[in-house]
Amino acid sequence: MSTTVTRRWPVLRVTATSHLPFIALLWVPFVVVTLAVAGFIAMGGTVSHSAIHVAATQLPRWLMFGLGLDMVSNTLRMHLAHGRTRREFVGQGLVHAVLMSGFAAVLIALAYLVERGVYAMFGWPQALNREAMFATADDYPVILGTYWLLFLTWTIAGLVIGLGFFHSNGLGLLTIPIGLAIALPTVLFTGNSGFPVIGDELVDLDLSEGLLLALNGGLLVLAVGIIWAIARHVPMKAKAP
Amino acid sequence: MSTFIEADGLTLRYDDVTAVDGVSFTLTGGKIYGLLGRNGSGKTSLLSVLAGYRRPSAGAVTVGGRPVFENAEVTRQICLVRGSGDAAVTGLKVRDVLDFAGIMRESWNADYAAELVELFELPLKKNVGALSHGRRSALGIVIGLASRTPVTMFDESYLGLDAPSRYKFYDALLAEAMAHPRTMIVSTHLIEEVSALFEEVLILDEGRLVLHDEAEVLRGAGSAVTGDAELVDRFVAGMRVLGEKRLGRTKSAMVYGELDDERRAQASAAGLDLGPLALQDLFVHLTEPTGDRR
Amino acid sequence: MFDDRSPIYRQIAERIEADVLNGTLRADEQVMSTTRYAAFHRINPATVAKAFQQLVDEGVLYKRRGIGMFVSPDAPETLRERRRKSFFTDVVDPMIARARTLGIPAADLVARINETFDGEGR
Repeated sequence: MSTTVTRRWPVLRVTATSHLPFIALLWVPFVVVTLAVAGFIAMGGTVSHSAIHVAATQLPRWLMFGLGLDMVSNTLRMHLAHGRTRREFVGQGLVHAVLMSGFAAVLIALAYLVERGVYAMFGWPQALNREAMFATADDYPVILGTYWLLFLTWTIAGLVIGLGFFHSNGLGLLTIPIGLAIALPTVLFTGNSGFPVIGDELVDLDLSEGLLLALNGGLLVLAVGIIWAIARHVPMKAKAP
Repeated sequence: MSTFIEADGLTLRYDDVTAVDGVSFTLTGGKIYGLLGRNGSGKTSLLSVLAGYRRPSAGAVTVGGRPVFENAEVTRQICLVRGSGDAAVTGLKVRDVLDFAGIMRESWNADYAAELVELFELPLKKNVGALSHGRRSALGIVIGLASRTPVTMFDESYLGLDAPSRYKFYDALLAEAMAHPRTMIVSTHLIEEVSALFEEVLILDEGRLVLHDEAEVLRGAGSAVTGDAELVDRFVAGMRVLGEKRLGRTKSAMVYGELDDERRAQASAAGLDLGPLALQDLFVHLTEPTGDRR
Repeated sequence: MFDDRSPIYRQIAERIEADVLNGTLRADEQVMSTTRYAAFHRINPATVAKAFQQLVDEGVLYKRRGIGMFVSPDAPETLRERRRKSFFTDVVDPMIARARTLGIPAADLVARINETFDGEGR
């Protein structure tokens, strides 16, 4: 008989082993394709700003949002099926959200660094086309912090909407505007990068950095409250065969 | 830990339906239980509440005296496989599903899981979503058995399996129950195929528990009384009549309750024919919609 | 095999009794263990155990601790004795009742019985 080992943080282990390699795997083509586009532009004209900055402020947050959804739709089901509780899922799921978004933020900061090397070789300027919390493309601590908070917020928004739909379609539809509202202030972290409908109006408000962070923090606390409120009694419906 | 399962007035309501309606029972544990019921009788709902997948709308269910819902100490003793299993996530490979089970379940036995994978010829590298219905059911069975939880429940886990694979499942279940005694609850409507495996049987109909007894008691408990209609009526008066058939003056009444020698002699003296009722027939008559209930 | 129309433990007991009576199972021969019997016939082990226990209580089988169950040396005689007792109530009485409804006189029955016994060399 094989030994049965009591492992700590089982929920976290499962989510980490499925999500972190997935993110790392996507990072490589992300960097390669983005820099290839810069190279393509260079052939026909001049590269005037950071391509990574353009790409990183758009796509990756949607991936993090999707992984937040996935945590609920796939892993919550698996956890409950293996006798884990909703409480364990929420606790370890939030820790996972923090670690995963941190991991992704490190990779993004690394992308800026890689780009710096490549741009230096060709003599292109790594300017930021859009305003952000960080003033330059080599302010790595602030880049890391900005993306970490941005990704964390989007993952949490994904968790809220995912839980809404795990509960029922009705609650799912209701959580869509809530999730969007939670993610709203983060669009200003890196300038408005195409948030639906009211992005530009928000930029015009010209909120101070401190106010923005406080607002984001408050919304995160609220989101965690909503997550727990939905998750603690959420039923696990039977799958269609 | 004790696997004494107690349901008290257990009720589960969905928006507009009552799926489980005031069900009460006590299972002493360590046996194989059969949960029988027609489609939509509330089997899955009842098991979902027992496993903590859903919170009861009313009433309570306890295992070892402790409530199940959101009680980690209790839920890790329980494994419910609904159909092909909630743990078999479509996007994952079979191997990953089993690896994750090993991480999540303290009682998981990887060697035994590997044996079962071979028995059911499961492709480890294939994506769960690409498996046939039968193979997915087999994966659910592997998860349930290898979890080695004190309470293991299979909800119609044989669907999509061909007959040889179903018998592999029954054999594995029985061998496992004898080698590592635990509480097993198997829901099914293929009664003839599995009923010999059960020590106790619970029959659910329209969310209500209509019968709970030892399987051996039920095997002797049903009789068909056939003969002259008037004599049959007189004989079955006061007994639980499950169903009746009539052809001219001849009538056949299905009754529930053991008939002792004296009653048998009475029947024989009255010229009535007594025939035994198989468990399957008993089930059919108990769960058949009858005139007054419809 | 076994059916669902009567308790399976009784069917198991009857089958083992039949094996003892027709000599398939000999005196002091070991019978299959409960678990093997259960696995072989796909029957709940508690049901098998109940059948074996009944046979022990009736003196058909005996237990040797830690080894298993064996056929009692006097099991065939015990069973025959028991069946002799029930033979008249189970077989002869219904036959007489039947004969009566058909109007067959007792003398004809007796004659037939004597004839058959003699025919077999008695």
